[in-house]
Amino acid sequence: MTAVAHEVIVIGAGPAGLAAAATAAERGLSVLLIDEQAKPGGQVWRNAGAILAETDGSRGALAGSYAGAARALARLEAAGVVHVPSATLVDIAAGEDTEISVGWLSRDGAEAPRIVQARARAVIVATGAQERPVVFPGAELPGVMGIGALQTAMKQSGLVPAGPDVVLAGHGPLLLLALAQIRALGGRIDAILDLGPPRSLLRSARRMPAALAADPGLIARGLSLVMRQALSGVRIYRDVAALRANGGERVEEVSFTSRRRAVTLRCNLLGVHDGVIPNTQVTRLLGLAHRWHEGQAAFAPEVEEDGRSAIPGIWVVGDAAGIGGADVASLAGSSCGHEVARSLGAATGSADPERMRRALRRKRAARTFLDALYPATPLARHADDDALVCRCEAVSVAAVREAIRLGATGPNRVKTFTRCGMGPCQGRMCGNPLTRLVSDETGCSPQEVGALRVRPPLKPVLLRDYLAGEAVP
Amino acid sequence: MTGFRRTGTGRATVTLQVDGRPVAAAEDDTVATALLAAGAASFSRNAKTGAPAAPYCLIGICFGCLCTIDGRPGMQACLVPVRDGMVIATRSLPTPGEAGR
Repeated sequence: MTAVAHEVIVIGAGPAGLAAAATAAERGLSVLLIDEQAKPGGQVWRNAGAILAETDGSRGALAGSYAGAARALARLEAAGVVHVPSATLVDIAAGEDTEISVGWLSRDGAEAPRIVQARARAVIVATGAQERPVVFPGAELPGVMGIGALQTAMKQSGLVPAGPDVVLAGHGPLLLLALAQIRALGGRIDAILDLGPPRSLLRSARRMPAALAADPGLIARGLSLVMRQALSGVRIYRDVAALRANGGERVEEVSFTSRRRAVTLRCNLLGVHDGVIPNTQVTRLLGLAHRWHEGQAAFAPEVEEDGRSAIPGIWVVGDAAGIGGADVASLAGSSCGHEVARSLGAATGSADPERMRRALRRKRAARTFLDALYPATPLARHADDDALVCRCEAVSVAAVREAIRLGATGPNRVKTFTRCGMGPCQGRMCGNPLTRLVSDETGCSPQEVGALRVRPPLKPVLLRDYLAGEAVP
Repeated sequence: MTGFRRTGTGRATVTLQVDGRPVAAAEDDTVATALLAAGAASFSRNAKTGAPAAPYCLIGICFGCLCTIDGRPGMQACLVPVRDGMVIATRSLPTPGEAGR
C-alpha cells in the first residue's frame, strides 16, 4: 500500500480533534485524523449524522446538544483531512529526531485488523474524557452503568431506560442533562439519588458572578435543567451515602442511606455519575508531567493555554487537557490548529488568535463555578471495604488498604502487590479511585501519590496484528 | 430484561447471529447497543472470578463489553458497528421463555 506521510496526526475526532484537524488542514498542512469510533463526533456529538437527520422526532430531541456538530463535520470534509475511523491507538513515541511515531490497530474495512504505523511532525492529542468510575459495593454487577453510557445508548441507538425500577445515582451537570434527555425521549426514571455530599452553596455561590459574566448561556442552561429536575415528579433522595447495589447475575436492588435513614429500592438498571475526568492514557504513555486539579479531583497533563506540551511536536487539547466541555474543546482545537500550523511554518492565516484566546478564557472561567458546585464525592462516602477498586482483577478496597499497610507507598506498588491495574482496561477504571484511595490512606496529596504507569500497547492487541501490519513511510 | 427499549422507527435493520440465534439490530447500532436492546444480560465472564460482565461505559473505557466477533476474541463490542451477518459469541441471551418479562 502506498501512503503519504502526514505533517500532522490528530488523535480523537471529538469537538477538539475535529476543530484542530480542520484548522491545521485549512492552513495548508497535510492532516491525518485517527479515531477509535466508526464515525466522527466523539462522545458529545456521537452519531451526529443520524441525529441531525432524524425526522421522526425520536432522537431529534437530542439535537440541542449537537449545535456546532454539522459545521465541524462539514469543515473537516472541506479541508481535506484524511479521516481514519475504527483505529485503536496502540503506541506513540516522540523520539530523538523531529518526528513522532504513531501506531494504531486498524479495524476498518473487510481486511483483517492490522497494526499501521506512521510518522508526523506534530501530533495533537484530543482523546477527550471519561466518566469518573464510581466505587461502591456491587458496581460491577450487570445493569450498573455510567449515566454517560445511558446517553450513549440514546445517541447511538435510541435506547431509553424502560424499567422496571430505573434508578439514577449521581450529581453534576451531566446527570441533569441526561435526565432531561431521557424524559424527552420517553424513557422512565423511578428514583434519583443525589450522590454527592450536601452542596456548599456558599462556596460555589462566590464564583457565580464571574461565571455569569463569563458564560451566561451556561448558567441559563443549567438553571433550566435544575428546574426540569424539580418539576419532573421523580422522587429525589438527598444526602445519599453508603450506596450498594445488590443482586446475583444482575443488579436487583439498591440500598443506601438518605439523610442517615436506611432505604432499599428495587432496581433493575442503575445509572451512576460522579463527574468526568480527562482520559490520560496517551499523555501518561508520552511521559508528560501531570498536575492534580483539586476542583475536578483528577490529573490533567501540564500544557500551555494553546495546547503546547513540554515535548516538541506534542500538543494536547480539549477535555484530555482538562475538563472544559464541548464549546471550550472546539475553540481550543481551532486555537491549537493555528499554533501547530505556525510552528510548522505554514502561511499565516486570517484568524485572530488573541480573540480566540480571550473567548477561551471566558468559557474556562465558568467551569470553576461548576467544579465548586459539584465537587467529586469523597471515596469514603460509598467505598466500603468490599467495594471493588479494580473490576478487571476483582481487587477490593480492603485489599488495597492491606497492601498500603504492608508498605505499598503508591499506585504502582499497590499494582505489584494486588494486580490492581493489570487487567484489560489497563487502569482506566481503577486509576482515579486508586490515586484518591492511596491519598486518603497515606495522607499524602494526590500530586505526591501520582498515578499508574502506562505502557504500550495502549489496548490489548494480538501478535498476528503486528505480523499483518505495515508501516506508512 | 436489560431495562432498555428502542425509540424511533424507520431505521433499516440488519441480522446478527448471537450465540447461534438470529438477532435483529438497527443499522447504526454498535454490537454493544444491539445486544443491550436484545436483552443480553451479560456479555462475558470475568476472567478471574467468573462473574458476569456487562457494559458500564459504552465508550471503550471499561472493557465490560468484551465478546467474540467474527471469530476474533476480546473485541470491545461498543466500538464495533453492526454488520449484516456478523457472528457474535457472548454469554447469554434470554431464552424465549424469559424474553417476554
